[in-house]
Amino acid sequence: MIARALVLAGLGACVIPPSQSSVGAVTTAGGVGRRASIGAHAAALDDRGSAGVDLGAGWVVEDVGPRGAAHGTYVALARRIDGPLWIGGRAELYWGVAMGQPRRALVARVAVRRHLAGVRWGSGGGGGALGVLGALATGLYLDVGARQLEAGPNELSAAAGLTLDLPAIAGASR
Amino acid sequence: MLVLIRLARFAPLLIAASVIAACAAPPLGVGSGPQFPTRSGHGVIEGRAALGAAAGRQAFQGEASAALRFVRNFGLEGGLIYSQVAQREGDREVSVLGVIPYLRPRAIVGRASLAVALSGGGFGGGGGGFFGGIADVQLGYAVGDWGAYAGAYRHGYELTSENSIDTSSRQYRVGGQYVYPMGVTRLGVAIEGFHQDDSLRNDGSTIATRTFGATLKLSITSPEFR
Repeated sequence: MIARALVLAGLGACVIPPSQSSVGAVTTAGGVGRRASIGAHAAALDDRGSAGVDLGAGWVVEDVGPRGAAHGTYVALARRIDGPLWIGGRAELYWGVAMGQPRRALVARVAVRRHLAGVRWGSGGGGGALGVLGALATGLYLDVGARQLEAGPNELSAAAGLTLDLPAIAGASR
Repeated sequence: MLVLIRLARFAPLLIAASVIAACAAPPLGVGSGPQFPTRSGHGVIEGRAALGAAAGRQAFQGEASAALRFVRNFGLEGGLIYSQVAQREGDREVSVLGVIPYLRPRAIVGRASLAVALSGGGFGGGGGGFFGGIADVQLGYAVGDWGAYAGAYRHGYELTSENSIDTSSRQYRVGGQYVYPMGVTRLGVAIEGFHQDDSLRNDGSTIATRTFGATLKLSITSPEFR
């Protein structure tokens, strides 16, 4: 058992989770800026494009004029309403923030997501294995949110942008 | 069943991974809720995300796990947690993050289950080293899609280097979960209350906290596979 554990521990392995990334513009009381995010999302694992719910979590960065870049994490939950139309919400926590940057945020999102293709592929042999599972999808989103600023008043925000969903990739080699 | 047997061959790899890494941030619990997420002879993959808050504290957690139910009364989860915690006291703030791999065997008797998660390890070199670990126990009771649970953990981590990190924490928690069927997947929503007693030190600043807080946990479960 120990020998097997050591052999397996020597196995090289890599897993890239099913992801959704986004880029867009945001407007706040402090000005207009840019937003980007990347996270693991369940819907990106759905190669048939039939999932009715999406749960995601990941990293978000926002850069608004004189406030500078604020980095945070998010949890997102979305439900398919009809065809490509989704609605959802996300909660964001920002870390190591400076005065005037967002500390916490709640966001409502409407999105149109287009499933372009599904991938379910795997290949393996004596030297290793590689597998890809999930969806290739693009989308448009519109966010409206409320946020608490660090040492400042609360504010409303709005954002819009593009999303890209990519499938999960897992590989292992000896 | 063949898939389970094949996957079980990787248990030593998970054990090895659990032994070599355990990190600083105290997590918002470990593993799935009161329901074991699959039937006997099947497995599932789950993703979970959680947000926690308490006085002066914010916490984020993302988690992925696989659960295999070998027989009616026994299952095993293996997963990976990413957690991030910031604790504020006055104008000071300590922020820590962690990645914790774990194994979590669970005994199931009727509607009740008992899960124990363990992870720990250490490594030392000339200029420093680290040691960390977590032991978590959770008792769950589920009726249909509803479930309730109570759990506790003891977690510790110490990194000795130029910028030392030292965390020690205890958590007691109670929670309830509802699982919504969503086509071939299931969505779990859990609300949890916890008592946290911990000391966090990072970059020369230490904050000790004893507080109550609340956590929102969301989970999504894949279709079962044999």
